Amino acid sequence: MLETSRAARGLFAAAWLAAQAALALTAGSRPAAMGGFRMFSEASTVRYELFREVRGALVPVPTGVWTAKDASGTVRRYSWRERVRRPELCTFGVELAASYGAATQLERLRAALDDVFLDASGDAETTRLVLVVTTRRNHHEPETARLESFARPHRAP
Amino acid sequence: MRLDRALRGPLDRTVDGTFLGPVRVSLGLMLLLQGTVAARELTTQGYFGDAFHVSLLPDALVPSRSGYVALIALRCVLAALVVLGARAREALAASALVVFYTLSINTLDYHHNRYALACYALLLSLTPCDRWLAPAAPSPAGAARVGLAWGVSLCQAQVCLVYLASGGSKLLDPDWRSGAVLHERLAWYAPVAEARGVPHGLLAALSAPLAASALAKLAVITELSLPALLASRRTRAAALAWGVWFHLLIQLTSRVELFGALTLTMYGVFVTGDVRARALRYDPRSRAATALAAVVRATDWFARFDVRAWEADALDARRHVVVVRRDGSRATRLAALAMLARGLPVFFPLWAPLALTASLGRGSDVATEA
Repeated sequence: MLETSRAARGLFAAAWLAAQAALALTAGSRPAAMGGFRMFSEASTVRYELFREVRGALVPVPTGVWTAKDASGTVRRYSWRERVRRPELCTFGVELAASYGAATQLERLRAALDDVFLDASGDAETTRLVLVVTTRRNHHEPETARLESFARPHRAP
Repeated sequence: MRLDRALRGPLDRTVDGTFLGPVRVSLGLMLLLQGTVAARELTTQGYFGDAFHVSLLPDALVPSRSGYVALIALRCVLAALVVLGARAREALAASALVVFYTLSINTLDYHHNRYALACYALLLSLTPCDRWLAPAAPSPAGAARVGLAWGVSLCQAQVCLVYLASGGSKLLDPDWRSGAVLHERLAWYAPVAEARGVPHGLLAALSAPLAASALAKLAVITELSLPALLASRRTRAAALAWGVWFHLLIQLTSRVELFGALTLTMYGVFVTGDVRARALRYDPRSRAATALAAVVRATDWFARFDVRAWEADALDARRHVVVVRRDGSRATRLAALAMLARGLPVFFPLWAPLALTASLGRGSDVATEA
């Protein structure tokens, strides 16, 4: 139809360019500025440590692997990396480049926290997972944020 | 009515699509590379749906493991069809849709260059890019090569839009304008750049705060001015030359996946579609001239030069090579080399320095009536 109809070609071209312009102008509202062609937008870094919240106290999980009892009292092993495979989201305690920006990295880490905790539904000791994240945006002063997964009651015997 | 008349030209104009063939082959190779990378990740990291991922689409629209394997295989097959020129336009459009879909179901895999590749593939499918069937195949003759040019204009507009979006976002970011982002990135990637042969002293000089600030402003000005310079036929060649060096520098000093290669490939859509409008005449008794003719034949991917052995005429017998420009004027020596570099994509980065040197010298042009 595009080959034979000038009107169809005109409509397609106008719609395409309008959509691309709209995506570029609103890219800031989407993670990774998707559709925005914002190349090399930041030179930010991120460093994060994982903790489990057990009976109100934070227990460090430096390697992303922990053991905990399930509701029947059986000890089980859980691993962040079994669920989160991307290196930029599973490397703890190391300053990493946030190639698509610190905000995108924080958003992805927040989503990963919920995903991992949901996957570790057998863990009856941990009431929530916590990531303490230090970001450094374009070599400015570092900022620290605390990201929390959803909460679950303590169920271990 | 006036608007209708104004739009009729860009929408109905036709173009000889020979010059789009190399663009198609290059995009096809990049699609194939992305397909094989996805296949490798599938074998090394497993099916993405079994692990943490972020999808823009509901779970019901995320394929199963076997569905995803089929999708990756389809990507590779479509990319191969694009390269080979078999149902190339359909394969380009389908490739684009598959890439859009795969980026939507796992946004952790999103990269601007991957999205841009899908956009360009879709737009190139609207052009007569299948006329140049395959690198080894003879070019079809005459009218068979001609098709509507509106897709070419859309491809050009997309390249300009990418520059405007990238340059505009940098202009609005104080950290970019001040050079802070570039300073930091140059420091990060200095080891990579050194490994690629960039001298340590040059990197140290570039990453100094003052130099990084100047470079950042130059990058923003470049990205914002290239669309206007590319739009005008008078400034287009200079803009392309500037852009080539801009991307080569980025490629050397950063990690950018396919971004540089993709943009340089898309520069091909700015080529004037005039097949064999220039000529190279050479002395077949000269070994150097014969070798040069062979190089031109091998690298003239846009089919710009009619290469033929010398024909007896009134030209000075000491000249071994003459380039006949589109306007019929003739050039020899350095000016001829500059003309060749301007027309041959592999040597295009050399065009500006050669043309500048030739313009400083004398006697490289010969009388048109000769």
